[in-house]
Amino acid sequence: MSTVDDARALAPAEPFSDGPGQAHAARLGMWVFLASEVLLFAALFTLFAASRTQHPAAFHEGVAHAKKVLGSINTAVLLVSSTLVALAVQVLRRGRTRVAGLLVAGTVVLGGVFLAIKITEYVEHFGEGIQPGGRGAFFQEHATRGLAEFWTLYFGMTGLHAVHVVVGMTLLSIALLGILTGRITAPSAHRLEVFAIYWHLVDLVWLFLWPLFYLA
Amino acid sequence: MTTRELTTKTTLLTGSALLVLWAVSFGLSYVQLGLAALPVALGIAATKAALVVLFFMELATARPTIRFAFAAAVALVVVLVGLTVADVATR
Repeated sequence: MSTVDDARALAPAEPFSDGPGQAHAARLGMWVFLASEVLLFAALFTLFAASRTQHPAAFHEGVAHAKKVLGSINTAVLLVSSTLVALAVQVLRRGRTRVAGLLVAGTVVLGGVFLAIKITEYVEHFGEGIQPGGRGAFFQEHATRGLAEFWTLYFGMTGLHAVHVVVGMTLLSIALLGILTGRITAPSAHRLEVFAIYWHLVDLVWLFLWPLFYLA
Repeated sequence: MTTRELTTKTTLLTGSALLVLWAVSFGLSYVQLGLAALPVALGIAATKAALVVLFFMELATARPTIRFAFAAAVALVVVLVGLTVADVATR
């Protein structure tokens, strides 16, 4: 890497006078954004709680019908991916950019595995005649009141989460490009870190979707 | 700014603990726990979430401003979910 590139990677951007100050601002900005994301999902979890309280039998039936093994594999996939990206941030701070790049690439691949499994689930459910809004042949054969609410919430909440997975994969791919081109190095590790924090939030949301839709 | 850095060992231990808790939660889903099933599953989820927030998102070593942003989000979620559920459950 040239001296000019070195200087660009190290120098703080306007209006920051030092690197740590800029890193903290970036980190805080991401946390405040994530707080708003948490409230978005909290509204949906509230809706879930209210519907489940009204229709406990239907929600029990819905959980029993959900693809528990696929959903559980997906939980493990996200937990491993979060571990990989947390390690990536740490090794990048120590200057091991190549290892960091590999770990970020691994995280993006696992994000792809998660989406592939999720799509498999959706395709199987559509095949069974389960569609959002209580449409499909399944709901003519299974008349328990509240089943339409369960499956609409299932598609809505896991679908919104899947959108976040795609966004997270995109952000981490941008970070990976930055690592490969030398724009993200040890002194500017916060650029990877803010995207990693976003990825952890995607993991966090799934940690609560999993028991609600697949386990209990 | 992160005041002190977490070690790679901490991250690996956290990752291992998360997978153990995942296995426990998955295993318990095959046990008939009745009404306790959901609180138990959500309790394990909350424990996993705490590990992710503290050690992967590094809240354990974060500055007070970041802790405040997190605390504000948690407090608002408790108000939103708590009051709505209390209302619906007591009708």
